[in-house]
Amino acid sequence: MTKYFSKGIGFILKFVFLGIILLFTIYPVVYAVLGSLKTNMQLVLGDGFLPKTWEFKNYVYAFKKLNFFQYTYNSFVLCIMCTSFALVISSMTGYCMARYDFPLKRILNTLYLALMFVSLGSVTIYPVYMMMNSFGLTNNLLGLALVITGGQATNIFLVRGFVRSIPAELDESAKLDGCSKFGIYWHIMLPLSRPIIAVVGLFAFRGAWNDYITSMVFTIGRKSLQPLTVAVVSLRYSVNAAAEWHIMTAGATIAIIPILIVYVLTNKQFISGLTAGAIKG
Amino acid sequence: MQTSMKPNMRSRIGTVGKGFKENKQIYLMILPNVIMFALFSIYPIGWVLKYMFYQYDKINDPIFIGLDNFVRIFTRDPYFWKTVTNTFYYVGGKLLITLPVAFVIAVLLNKKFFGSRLMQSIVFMPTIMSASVMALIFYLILNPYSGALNTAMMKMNLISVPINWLSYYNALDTVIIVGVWGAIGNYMVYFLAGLQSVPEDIYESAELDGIGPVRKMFCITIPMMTPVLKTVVMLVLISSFQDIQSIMVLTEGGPNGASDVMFLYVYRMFFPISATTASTSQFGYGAALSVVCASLIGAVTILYLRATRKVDDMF
Amino acid sequence: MRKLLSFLCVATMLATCLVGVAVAEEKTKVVVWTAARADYDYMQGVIEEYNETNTSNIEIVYEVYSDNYQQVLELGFDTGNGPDIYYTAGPVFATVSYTGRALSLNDMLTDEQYEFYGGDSNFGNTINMRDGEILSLPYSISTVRLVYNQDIFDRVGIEKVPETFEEVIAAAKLITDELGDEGIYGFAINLKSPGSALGRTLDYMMQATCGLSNGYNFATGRYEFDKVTEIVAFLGQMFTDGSTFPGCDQLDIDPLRTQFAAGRIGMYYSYTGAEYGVYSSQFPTDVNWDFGPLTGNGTRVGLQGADGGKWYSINKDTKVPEAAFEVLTYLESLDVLVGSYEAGLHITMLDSVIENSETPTAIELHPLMAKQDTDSVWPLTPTNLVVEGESYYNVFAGYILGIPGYEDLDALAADLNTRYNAALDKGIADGTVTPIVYPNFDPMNPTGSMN
Repeated sequence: MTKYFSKGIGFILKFVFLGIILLFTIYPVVYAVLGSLKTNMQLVLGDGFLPKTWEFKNYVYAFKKLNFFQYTYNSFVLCIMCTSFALVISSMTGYCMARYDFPLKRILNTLYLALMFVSLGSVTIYPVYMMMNSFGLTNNLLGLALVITGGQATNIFLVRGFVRSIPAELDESAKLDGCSKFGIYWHIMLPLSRPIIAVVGLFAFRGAWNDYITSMVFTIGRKSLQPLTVAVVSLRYSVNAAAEWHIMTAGATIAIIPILIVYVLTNKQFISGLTAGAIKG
Repeated sequence: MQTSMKPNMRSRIGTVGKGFKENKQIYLMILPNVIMFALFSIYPIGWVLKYMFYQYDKINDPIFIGLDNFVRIFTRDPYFWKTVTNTFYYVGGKLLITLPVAFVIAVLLNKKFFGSRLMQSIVFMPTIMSASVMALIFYLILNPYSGALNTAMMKMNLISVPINWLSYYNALDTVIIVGVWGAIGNYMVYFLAGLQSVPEDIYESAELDGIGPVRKMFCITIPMMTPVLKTVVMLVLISSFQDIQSIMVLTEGGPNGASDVMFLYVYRMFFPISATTASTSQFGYGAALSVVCASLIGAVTILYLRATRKVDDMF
Repeated sequence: MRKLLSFLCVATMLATCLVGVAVAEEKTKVVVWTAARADYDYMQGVIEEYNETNTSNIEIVYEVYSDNYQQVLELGFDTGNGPDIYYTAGPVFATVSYTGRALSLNDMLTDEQYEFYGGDSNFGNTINMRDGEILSLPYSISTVRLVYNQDIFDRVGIEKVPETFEEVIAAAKLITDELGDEGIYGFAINLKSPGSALGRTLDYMMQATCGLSNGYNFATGRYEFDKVTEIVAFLGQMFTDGSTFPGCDQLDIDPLRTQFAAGRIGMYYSYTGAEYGVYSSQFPTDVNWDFGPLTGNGTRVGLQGADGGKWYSINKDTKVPEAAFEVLTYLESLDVLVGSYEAGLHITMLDSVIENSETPTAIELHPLMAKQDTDSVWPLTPTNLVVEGESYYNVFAGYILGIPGYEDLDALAADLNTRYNAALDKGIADGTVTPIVYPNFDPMNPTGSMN
């Protein structure tokens, strides 16, 4: 009898706890979405949970008058570029590191490891900005994409670890067939590395979509280049001398939705990607 | 085609020292990465290592001052060390809360029941969103006068006077909670993977021996998961030290530095956040500060690795 | 997999091309950067009209950066991507124009224009000139006043607008005592940003009450923060009394204005040039509000400062100086100035504009919005100091908010003196700071006694 009782209590406790956690997790998102449909006064003065009037025109305003189409476009362009760069670079380098020994290898390896843990913070933004300026890359998204992609040390290790698990016999038979090293990479490694490629791509996309400080500094003089995160936060000091919180929540919702969609579609890959890093590390 | 995840002894094909022509393809393939690495990782470090010996505001030319920046850091800047204490408090607090909670959630959601997959996804959701954008939302929610949190708590009669969540006394704790919000999902996933890696037979033989659930947890599950735990804690440590985006948006360092963390202080040396006052950037000092911060993190990492090696010996 | 990779490569190339496309312009573009937000709609109209009707084939590109304006500007200049014309009111003049970024206007300014802009009385060294070179043209003048809610005053029976520190403290306490239950408080200040909050209170009060500017004494050439403790104590007293709006330490100026517009705040301080625009268009309100005089201790030691005499400067490295000058004089032309003055967006300091305008509704409703005889432009204090530790704004904000560690006001002031004077001396020795001392300085006549 007591066994069922304690099991019942355990059951209830478990669901109460989970319920609190779920509420805690999802509340800010719901708040943002609902807030984007309220008027500014209602939102700032905290006048009720549900919107009194459903102001879909906040979104119309954001897109038309405040240029949010441009910002969303910028975010997408930036993310596509970053993801492509990350995929190309980390897959090629990871493959080489896993399969071949070459003179520079040891140095590179040590450097990557060492610098993964060295983080100098935002200090590095200024010298990088000046350097990009001397290349003429400061006023476009390409420069920003390059900066965000950066050295890719973690992704390289991920790819390397995965490629190591692919038997080398495949390489040798391909070589016998007359395949060049690049050919092996292109024809054999890439198709087999689909899982890890998906992970690298996803994390690169997320990193680029959510990046704030670097994007802010690099687009500081050019409003039309700003991605969504920067545009939304800058609404706090918006043109109209008074923070437009209702537009900000609309902007936040717009900033969340694409990445949410990507997440829902690729749920499994995110999770397996994280664990691949943890277990192997 | 089955690909095993275990490292394969025959996974490498050596081409050591076979001359440049043989390795040409390899060099071409790694060239983009080497360039990026040199430009975006090595060059900034070189810049920092040079300018930490200078006094460099943007208006005049850099002036070489030797070790004076470091003297200033260690003798004349109590504010910096306050931010260091804040940072350690923040990281510690975030660790202490996130890890147990994420672990419990992982355990609870490990057994597949109706909706467990959905719940996992919901808990994971905050980690995919931009920290700065969500910090803005939290700023609204935490508003003492008309924010959602205080109004809800007053309606439920939990408090009678609005709590000022971002006051001098509360700011750091509140910021930790916001950090936890963004991190729980991440670590829940690691723990889920770790839990699933514990072989079933151990549990079966334990059950045959009649061991209850609590002992099962502490004597089997946790010890078996130490490798995962080790990695997870290290990841939390390193990434939490660099968590400045949400703090920047929420409090900008808090009332008089209550929630100021080291890297935010460094950031302000380069981009002073100031509304009506003219303020000078101090690049040289900022560079020196960042080196000190990086060394602190390095020291913590090394201490951590040493400590976990001892734990390894125990098991 | 390969298809995906190829697709991504193509997408990248396409994206790069789309982004990098530069459309060839035939018109001469003049880029204007500003931090002024309140007059955005008006300026848009002005700019569009110019772009459509001007005969010099010029197109103005007008961009507002109210967030981090100074960083935006400096980064822009550092990388050679600066604007042609930039807003230079407020502290930007000292750090950007005065340090050599601005183009001298002497050659292009005609005598007629010089008189239009006020002649000798509106031009002075460090105000809009440097060593005889004119760097900016006068436009508006803005100073700080008490902003109060007349309805609340009526409800609690305050008949006369409080003018001294004691009166304000008493009024704030009265309001909070009587109306605190309804969520109405006597006083508020946006201390989330100490620089912004104390910049609109302490800085102006210390000019009128102590004759100092930013804590600096022009006559002695030293920082004397011990003299301003009376003002800081006044602000702190209202917190100790509990008469302040809850959560001031995380209140930004715009949320403060929202609460004021909702009728929940009795008094605060802000700029004459901004509040009217805010409450007429951004936060339309039924609240019956007005400006009151800046609070003092009953004795006036100096004229109250005002930000004025400078508005736009031309970038020294501009590629189109003549076009930029034409745009500059258009943006500060009689019609544009009259329009903005009559709309209550700016308070002009040019007699030539006042004579040609109808008294704006704004000034009829709020007489203290206009420039008074007790307002005057002040010269620049030493710039480019590298002060170790917290700025005086943060230190005094700590005291006002009652934060532990900031309790001893006199000790705080003494420490500030030490640090600021040390930074001043070091900077002068280094050559990075220009000494500014006027032994005959008279705070009651700031611009006339700069010697």
